[in-house]
Amino acid sequence: MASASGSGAATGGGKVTLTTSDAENFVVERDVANRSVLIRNMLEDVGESDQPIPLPNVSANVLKKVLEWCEHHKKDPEPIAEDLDDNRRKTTEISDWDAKFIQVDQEMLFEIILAANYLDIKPLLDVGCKTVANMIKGKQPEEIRKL
Amino acid sequence: MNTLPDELVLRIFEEVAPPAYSPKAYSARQNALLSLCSVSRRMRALAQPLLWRFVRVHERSRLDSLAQPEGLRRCARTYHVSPEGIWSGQKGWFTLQEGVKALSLLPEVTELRLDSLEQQINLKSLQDYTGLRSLSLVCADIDDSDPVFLPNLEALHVEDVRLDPNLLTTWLSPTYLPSLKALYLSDLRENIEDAPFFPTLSPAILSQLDFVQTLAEETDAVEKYGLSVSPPFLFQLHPPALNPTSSAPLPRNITLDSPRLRLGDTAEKIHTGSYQLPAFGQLLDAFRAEHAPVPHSILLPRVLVMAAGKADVDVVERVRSFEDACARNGVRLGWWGGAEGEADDTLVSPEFWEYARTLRRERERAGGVWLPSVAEVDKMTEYSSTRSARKDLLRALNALERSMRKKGSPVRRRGESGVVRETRWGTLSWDFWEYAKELRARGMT
Repeated sequence: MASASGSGAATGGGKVTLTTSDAENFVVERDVANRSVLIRNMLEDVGESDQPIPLPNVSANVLKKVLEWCEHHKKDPEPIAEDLDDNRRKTTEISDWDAKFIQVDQEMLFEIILAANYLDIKPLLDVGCKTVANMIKGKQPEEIRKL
Repeated sequence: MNTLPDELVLRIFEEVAPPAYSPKAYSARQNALLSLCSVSRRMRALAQPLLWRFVRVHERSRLDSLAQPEGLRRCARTYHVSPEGIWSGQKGWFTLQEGVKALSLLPEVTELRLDSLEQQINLKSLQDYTGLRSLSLVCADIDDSDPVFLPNLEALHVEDVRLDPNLLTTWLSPTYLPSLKALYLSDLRENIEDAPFFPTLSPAILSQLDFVQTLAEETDAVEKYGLSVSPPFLFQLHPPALNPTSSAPLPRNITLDSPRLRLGDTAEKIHTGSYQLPAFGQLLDAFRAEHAPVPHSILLPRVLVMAAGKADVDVVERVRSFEDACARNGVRLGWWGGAEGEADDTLVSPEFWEYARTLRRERERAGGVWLPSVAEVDKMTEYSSTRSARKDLLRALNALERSMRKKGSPVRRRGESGVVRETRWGTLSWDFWEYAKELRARGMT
């Protein structure tokens, strides 16, 4: 048993339990949870453990949505650390899947952005911010005020 | 949006008003920021500094006004000096050196662009600005002097510049530029009447760089570095530079030259100005030619298709067949620049940089550490006399793995039960060894 979970910690297999702010448990694959840099670092630091990971800043309905994204993107290559270039951030477009995924009400959109920021899932944060930016673009100040 | 913290609102603002380099895109950016400023007090506090992020000085009155606004001091990140006029009697004229001196008024600037009409500049005059991360020197004469130490400089762009080749070779070293990652060099001459030279880059600087960009006409560079993989060299192609009948291999990475935008130019004008199309057709022909040497990756300006979408059906067709040809030949096709063709005209495409970084990471990863799997630890400690040996070893390995990861070194556990998750050339895999032994045993019986 011990050896099985030991290899899990190292190779990315196995399952992880996440507990939300409203005390709901989610059991997910290690690969999926690893999309969150916060969770990945926690798992690496803790090493072998079956303890659930508490996420006090994320509620169940938001985490469900975030995990849906992580599941779809679990095979993506690791994003490259963005060290230089706040001036020159690349202009990638939102993929079709992501665009559909992020079609949620405004409240949920901001919740997803907050959760992606807290969980440190950069690509998801990008999708969220770009979506809000598209809502703002070309609008008058009065219209932006309503967002 | 009021629920979001400042840092996230700022991120969104960056998307709403991205950095802009063409006059048209710049005014769109400023307008977007102005309207954000009138949304609420909080938004104004966040958006206003972005309005003053890029400072360009082209005449003396502007230069003199830099000392005034306190806001500018805090907000300016990019400082662009481009004195207009050629002679000192001209109205508003100032020297490049004066422009550089004014940088001391803008302590937060990390990107400096010097763009003059053949004025002189001394590298030593940059020595106090150690915070610079990006430097662009265009159309200037660099004095013979000592190289300058810029510890944080990550990107360097030198184009159409007169300088001593030895000075450049000395300067381009980890000693003077220890953080340098991206380098653009083109049209360098010792004297104005000389032929252009491409400097010899030391192994030390080459191993430090993510990539180098230059022009395809720099034949020395093509010859020396055209097929370089580590770091990759990106060659910009001017329209007539490609000879499809030549048997010489094309450089591994090429891009079509960026169209220089001038005031009032539209994207349509650039490409229907038949600037892009000939080169494009040539590339296509090169693919069609039998046994044609094929590059590894090609970058095209996005403006090509965006403009074509509006204006020219022919281009769309060409792009499509080009994409097909790339796919057939295993060529990696990328795009750079924004839709309006307002790509930054100094350095390179961020897309290629990212690609180069990926390559670099792969190179570095190949030197990683493999740790034994748990099953192997079991085997190793099977006959150990101390009971805790297995546990101790596992704990030690975990600690090692964590510390390696913290240092950024790649660490991998060898796969269990004969399943190798990842293998790299140059790494001897135990799992594969086992498998090979098994094969051999079978062959013997």
